[in-house]
Amino acid sequence: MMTNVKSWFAKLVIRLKKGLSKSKEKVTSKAFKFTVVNKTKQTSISIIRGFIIFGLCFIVIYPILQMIVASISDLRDLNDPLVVWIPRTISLQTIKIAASAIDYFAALRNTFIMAVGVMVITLFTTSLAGYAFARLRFKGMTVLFIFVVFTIVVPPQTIAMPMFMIFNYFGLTSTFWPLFILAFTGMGIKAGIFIFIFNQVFRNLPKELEEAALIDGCGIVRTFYNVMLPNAKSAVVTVMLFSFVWQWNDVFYSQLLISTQYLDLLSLNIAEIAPRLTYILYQLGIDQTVAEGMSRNPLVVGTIANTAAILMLLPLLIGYIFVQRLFVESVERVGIVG
Amino acid sequence: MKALTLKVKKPMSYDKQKMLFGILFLAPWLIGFAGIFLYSMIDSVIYSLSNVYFLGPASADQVAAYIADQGLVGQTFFKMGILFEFVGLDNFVYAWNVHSEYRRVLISSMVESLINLPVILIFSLLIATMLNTKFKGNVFARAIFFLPVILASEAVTIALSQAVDLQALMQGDSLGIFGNFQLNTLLIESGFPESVVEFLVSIVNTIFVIISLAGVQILIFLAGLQSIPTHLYEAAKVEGATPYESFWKITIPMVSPHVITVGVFTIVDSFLKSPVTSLIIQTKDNQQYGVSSAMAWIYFVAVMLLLGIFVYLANKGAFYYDDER
Repeated sequence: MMTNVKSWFAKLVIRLKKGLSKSKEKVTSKAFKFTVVNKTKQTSISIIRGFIIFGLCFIVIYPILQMIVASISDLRDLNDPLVVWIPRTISLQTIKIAASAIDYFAALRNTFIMAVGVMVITLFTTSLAGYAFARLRFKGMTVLFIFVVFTIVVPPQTIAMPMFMIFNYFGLTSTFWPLFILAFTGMGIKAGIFIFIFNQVFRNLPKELEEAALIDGCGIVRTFYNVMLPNAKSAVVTVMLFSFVWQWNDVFYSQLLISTQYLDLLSLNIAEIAPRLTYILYQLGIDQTVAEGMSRNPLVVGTIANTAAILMLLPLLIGYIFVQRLFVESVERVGIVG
Repeated sequence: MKALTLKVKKPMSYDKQKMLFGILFLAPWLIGFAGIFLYSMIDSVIYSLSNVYFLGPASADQVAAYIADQGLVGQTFFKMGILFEFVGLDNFVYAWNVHSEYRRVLISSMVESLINLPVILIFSLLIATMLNTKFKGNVFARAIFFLPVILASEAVTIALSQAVDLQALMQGDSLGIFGNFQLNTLLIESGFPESVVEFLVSIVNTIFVIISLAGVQILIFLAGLQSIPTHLYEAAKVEGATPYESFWKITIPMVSPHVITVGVFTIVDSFLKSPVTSLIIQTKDNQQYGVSSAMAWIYFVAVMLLLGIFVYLANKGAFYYDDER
């Protein structure tokens, strides 16, 4: 009995071995195994990567979605623990209050004018300076470039107060002029970085381009404007978008150089939303005691501040949807290297 | 005869022209640098060394009367409607030793940026490496990772911090991911030790902060990764290197010059978000102009130290492919 089983087992093993070697040649079987292992490895890696990227994207988007939901839901829903994502009643009340609290349309117009103005002026100055640093070098240029780096690394608050005094002395602090002047003189928000970017990009353009333009009879200005600038499109896009966005979101310079009494700016109005709320609610026809109570309720203030933030960022968000591809590609192509 | 005496106007040589236009192109920036930046720097030093009084436009007699009236003992100096009384390093001493918050806020914000710096560097490098591989929707993912750069507004932060207790909103930390999911309690109740859960939650919550700080950095690294010549990887593969090895032996050295850029950008980017800034502005609004300037200068020195140490270390470790630099 025992031997019978043994021999049967041995036969089985032999048959299995034979069958395996018969069904596939040794080499191909190995290759087959290898590709299978490789494939599972690759899929598992891509699945893990997908998970990580999806999770991180979720982390980025989640608060934005939350803010949007909070802004369109009724104020009463906020206290309701049963309401999590989908508001019971959709109301535009919060948006209305927030819009009048930050004086939305006037502020939007002003902010837009300011941001576009600063963007155009910054582009003008920084591209010229960047080109000069890259190609029109004269003695002492290196020192000047070190100064550019210096303007980048000096915290703006170090020079903030005397700067305010200058503009205050000339009585410009109720206009856009301080910001425009700063932009024109290349001292605006992170303008040093823009000069740096332009310098980098112009330096990496082939020299033959300029020589060809020169031989064809272009002066330096025309070479810059018609030949070099179109070739530095990625830098132009990067600088324009960054200066626009940073100016749009900026509080520090606006707060320092522009007084709110004269000019409504979105960022300034939002930063001051909590102290203004009682007055605004009262103005909207809400009973004064109720208004005071509401503006002391952190939930209400938080929601309205949130909504105001959404209102402020909405134009940027919509714009970003249209230009994001251009934006991301340009920033990548610029490749800011130390 | 007349024709001979006529001066023939030679066209300017190209080099001269270049220099002229160089100066011309740089002119706005030069004006700004000298007229606003340098002037303000120097002025700021004066501010930090003196007590500042605003008189507005006043005649010399009025100024003298004001000095006598206030009993100012130090050396005085009147300029553009502002009276300075020289007090030496008093403002610095005050800011550092007497001010109730400044030293604590400064040190904690420095420590924070010291901790955040490597975290942001590593995080953005990893994300950039991940985004650099080809997969469906990577353009979309890039766009999303860059979203915080667009939406990171100090105005919003200020507004939300004014809404005293945002925690109440949406039944949880508004930035915290676990707010609504109650994963927190779920994990604790399913028997995980509380400290572990708290650690996990805090990591997830900081991830949001890190992501929102790392948008530009990810893109800089992405650009760096894409500029690495592919033949290096091919050669490594032929020699039998695993992707892991080629990451450490090729990718890391090749992006190391970008580490300096990213680090410097991270530090520079943190200036206006730092709590020190709001403290400086607050002090200024309290009319302590000299102290505010002194604070700004102390901050400046601290930042410079941080930057200097970082650039020194990063430069030591950096590898430059072409030795031109």
